[in-house]
Amino acid sequence: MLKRIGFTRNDLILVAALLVFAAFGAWRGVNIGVSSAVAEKVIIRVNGEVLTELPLDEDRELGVTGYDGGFNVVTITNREVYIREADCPDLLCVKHAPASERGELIVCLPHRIAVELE
Amino acid sequence: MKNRLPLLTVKAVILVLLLILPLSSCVSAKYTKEYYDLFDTYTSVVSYGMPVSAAIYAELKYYHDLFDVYSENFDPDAPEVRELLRVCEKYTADSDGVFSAALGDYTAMWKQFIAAERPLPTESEVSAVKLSGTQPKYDFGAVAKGYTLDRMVPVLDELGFSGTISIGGSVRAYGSPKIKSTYVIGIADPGGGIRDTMEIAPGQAVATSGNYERYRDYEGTRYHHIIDPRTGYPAQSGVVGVTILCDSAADADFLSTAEFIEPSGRLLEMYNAEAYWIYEE
Repeated sequence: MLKRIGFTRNDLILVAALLVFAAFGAWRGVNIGVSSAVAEKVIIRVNGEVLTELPLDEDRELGVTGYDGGFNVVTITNREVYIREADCPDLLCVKHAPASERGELIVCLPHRIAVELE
Repeated sequence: MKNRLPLLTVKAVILVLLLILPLSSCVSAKYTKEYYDLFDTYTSVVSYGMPVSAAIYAELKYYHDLFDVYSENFDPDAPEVRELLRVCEKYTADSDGVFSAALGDYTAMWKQFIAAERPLPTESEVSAVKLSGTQPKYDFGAVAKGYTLDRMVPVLDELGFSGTISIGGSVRAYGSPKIKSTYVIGIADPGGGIRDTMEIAPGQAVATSGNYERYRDYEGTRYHHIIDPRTGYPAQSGVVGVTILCDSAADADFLSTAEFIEPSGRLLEMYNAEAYWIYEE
């Protein structure tokens, strides 16, 4: 019957492959929505704008300048991120526990620096 | 050639439709985020299905300015302020004084101490605030966030917004369940990481009060930002954090504060709310 539309055997193999791909895609789509707890990257924003995105599994340290000229040191090590040093008045960002899971957020409000895990 | 064209078209259409299938399931997970410094905390808007409208920032800023008691433009007679005060009076009455919006003198003092901008307030300094009898200074920090989240419902409805708005520890979900039916909220572990998650639907709100983000440890005591009106000191109730789930963001905000200070759970039934507790070890 499909031959009447012009489907050859190769076409049917292609269709079967696409259906498998579609099913896999649908399954992956559902998993993306549920959001696993494993964080992949560190997103650093200053004043709401993304400054940089870094992989969580690469140890590094960087200095970030806040929107008012303030300075913070962001440290990524052992799949954790924290603010090691800052010159803000209250140092709440430094006191904050290290973040390691998706959705966690460390903020230096006076400098408008936000470190988020995704 | 003429006869074959329609057949190829049918094949092509079928193949294109099959290609679209896996991509369509990803569409609903797409969101945009915006961040603002408002309400003396970190405010974020997460929008599904459409970019974040500039009108949302404008509305948030409007309420931020209204309830900012430290602003020189603060107007205690503004209708929204008077309404908020009326709501706070009910909260104070229902909580037998555990909640109060009149703690401005205390919160200013402790905020300065947390920022190491002044020495530890002495007992007589704290009592002096209590007994001064002068017109109390208001501070809406404990309830303005949730109250604003509730007030924004009509505007967000008109914009067709689906998503969440978080102001500090207060979050509310909005919009059509067809665009997104549940949102996952993470409960932070005070020592780092996420302790647990809860799911909320559009129309629900969550608020957390805790002593692990705005505090100063000094000579063995944790001085934090949630002041007990009955003592004038940061509450020491054995609670590290409490997260409230409720249909009203203002109620959730109030309950998280009141239950942190006096963790009886008594108010939860009255306000049709649920609580998640983290206690001192």
